[in-house]
Amino acid sequence: MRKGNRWLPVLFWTLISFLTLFPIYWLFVISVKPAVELFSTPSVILSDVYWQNYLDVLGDRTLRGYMINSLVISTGNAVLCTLLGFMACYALSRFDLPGKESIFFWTITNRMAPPAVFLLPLFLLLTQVYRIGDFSLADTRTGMILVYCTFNLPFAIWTLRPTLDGIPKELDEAAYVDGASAWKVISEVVFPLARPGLAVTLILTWVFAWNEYLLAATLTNFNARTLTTGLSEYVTTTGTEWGIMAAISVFTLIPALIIFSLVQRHIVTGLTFGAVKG
Amino acid sequence: MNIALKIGASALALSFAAGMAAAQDDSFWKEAGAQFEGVTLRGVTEATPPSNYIKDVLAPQFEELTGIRVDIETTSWDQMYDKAIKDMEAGTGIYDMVYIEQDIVYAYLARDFLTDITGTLEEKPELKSPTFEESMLTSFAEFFRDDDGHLYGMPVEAFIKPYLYRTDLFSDPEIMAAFEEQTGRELAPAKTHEEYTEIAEFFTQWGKDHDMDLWGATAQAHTGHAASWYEYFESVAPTFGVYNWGIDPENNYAATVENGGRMNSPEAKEALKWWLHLRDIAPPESVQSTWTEVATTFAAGRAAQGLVYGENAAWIASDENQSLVVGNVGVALPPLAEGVLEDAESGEGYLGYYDGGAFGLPVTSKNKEAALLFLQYIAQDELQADWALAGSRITNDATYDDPEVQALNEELGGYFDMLRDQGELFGGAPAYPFHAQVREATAPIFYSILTGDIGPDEGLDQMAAKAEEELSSLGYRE
Repeated sequence: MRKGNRWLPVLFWTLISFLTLFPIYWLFVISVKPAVELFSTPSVILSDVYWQNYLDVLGDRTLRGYMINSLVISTGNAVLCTLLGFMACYALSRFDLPGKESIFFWTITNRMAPPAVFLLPLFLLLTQVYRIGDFSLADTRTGMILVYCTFNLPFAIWTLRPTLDGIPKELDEAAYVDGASAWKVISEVVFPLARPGLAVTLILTWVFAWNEYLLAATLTNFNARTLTTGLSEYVTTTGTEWGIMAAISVFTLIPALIIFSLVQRHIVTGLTFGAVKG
Repeated sequence: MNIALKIGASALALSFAAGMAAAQDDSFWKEAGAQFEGVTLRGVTEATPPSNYIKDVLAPQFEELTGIRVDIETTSWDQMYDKAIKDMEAGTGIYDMVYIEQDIVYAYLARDFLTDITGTLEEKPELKSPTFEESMLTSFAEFFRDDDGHLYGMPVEAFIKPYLYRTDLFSDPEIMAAFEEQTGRELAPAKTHEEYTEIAEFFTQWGKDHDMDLWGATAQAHTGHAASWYEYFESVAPTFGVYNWGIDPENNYAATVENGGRMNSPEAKEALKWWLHLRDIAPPESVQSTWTEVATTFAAGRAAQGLVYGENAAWIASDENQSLVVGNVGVALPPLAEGVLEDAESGEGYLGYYDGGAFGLPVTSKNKEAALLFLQYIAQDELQADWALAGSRITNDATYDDPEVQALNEELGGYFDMLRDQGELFGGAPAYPFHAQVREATAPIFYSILTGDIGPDEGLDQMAAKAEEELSSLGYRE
């Protein structure tokens, strides 16, 4: 009886893993099948592997450009949001600012409305308002990095606040007593201790920017289009290129998997940091 | 001079003349383009094979010839509209060319979004290419003209929606014999709705009896997507003699029979019931099918016949990577009620949908003149054959005569012949600026009919009344 019970959790977690991983497996299966097989009787079993979809994607210069844009925009946005979020949270955590709780709450209001609400104002801001002569932020990587701050910076602030609050102020004070400057305290005391929270913030904001579609689809045209908007090019009135779309999707998973695997040990620490502040 | 020498001399003269003509043409493009040095044209279009050909082949060619760079943004259908309309509404001038689908051109004209191509070329003859005449274009160009006959879009895609059938099934001796035994007539593409139904029922049963993934018809009958609404109004109702969605613009935009319209006429109701019956014996995915899925259903060999958009007919018939029925696709006119063919021939009606799109010049473009050059460039006869081979589209009359196009025509079961000879019998969307509004107002009722919540007769009565209500609120009905 006890032996049987031991296998039950294994069976349970195997089942859960299967359910979780099956969509990724199915995505891969679609990516290595020719269109004619997908349109007739698609099989769950992977028999013949058809790599042409991957070769098409790799050989497409436009898609490579989209990939670079995605990397630059999401990395730039994640770094900017994490740094700005860290600075904002340091101020909120360490100083007695008037109405700081209201400021903290106010930052999240940007995430309360659906992004579609901001589409037209952002479109007009980028194309017409922030324009000097022929230069505008529309359809630029810089513009998209800033646009994504609208949604990712509040998230960063809310994610980092518990982290900063969880670092005892006494450590700052001890450093000050030892003669450290404010910059030294931030860079050599607080920043290293906040690393798990910073890692979580960095990766989650990166993933949000990497996967974002709606704003990128509207606010980019020729120079700053991202990989997610490139996917939409394969849904047409003459058919949907499921194989190529799946191959692109597999490519989009790879950077995220690499980054997650590199910082995964920080993630659990970062998410729970400050949760039991004494 | 012997015959061989004469032929040789003639060939030499011809090639010299052709070379001279090409040189003259090149010199026009070079001279005309020189004044726009440093200009970059930007266009937005849907990512379809014809548009990709513009992006990958024609735009670089034009740049090499004129020095004018052309960036074409290809995206999904909905994004394309969203971006183009936002740009034209806000007047931001991002785009110098926008793809205009045939059914939206009247809404664009009503909102003064587009530049008059005919008028601009008359005003600025120095921009007029010696190799471009509007008369080169097929009859499809008529759907991009205003009341004065001025052109507002350069056609880049054009397709009719024909009746496709499986030649391998229709010529199978066993199937033919069984069909003849069952119906008392020879198996052949249907000319009437009754024949079409009979064939559909026969093949659906045949599929069941022989344990095959085969049904008698396709249906673009999605229960919550505009594709099903269009299938009924563009492709089915006209074959029963109900044109222009049953709305009569000459009679105060009447839609109800009571007011002189035909949206809920007996013919409209008969058409809808006919189509619903076909939907019920079509492959199970039909209730989730839009135009794309209907094509993939047919390409997967799951239907013996169906009404399929022409842009799909081409790859279904010729692309082995996507289709299991290559070499087995026949093309015919849709089945028709009595008098409909005569109506189409006299210009009073049409047999089905003439679909496609054009490149238009937004009035907000900052480089209209350079863009006008590009539009004339892509309309030239000599560029059309390769474009037709790449995208199975024909917008210039001269394209049909090209030997390679003729060879493709054979592969497509005579589809291009039908486009040339009978294309004029098909119609574009009615010239309604309120196209989207009326569709959106009536579509929910239509979807309720498809899900069975409302009967077809009652549903069409409600749709006709709703159409009039919407037209009244828009100010069309008095």
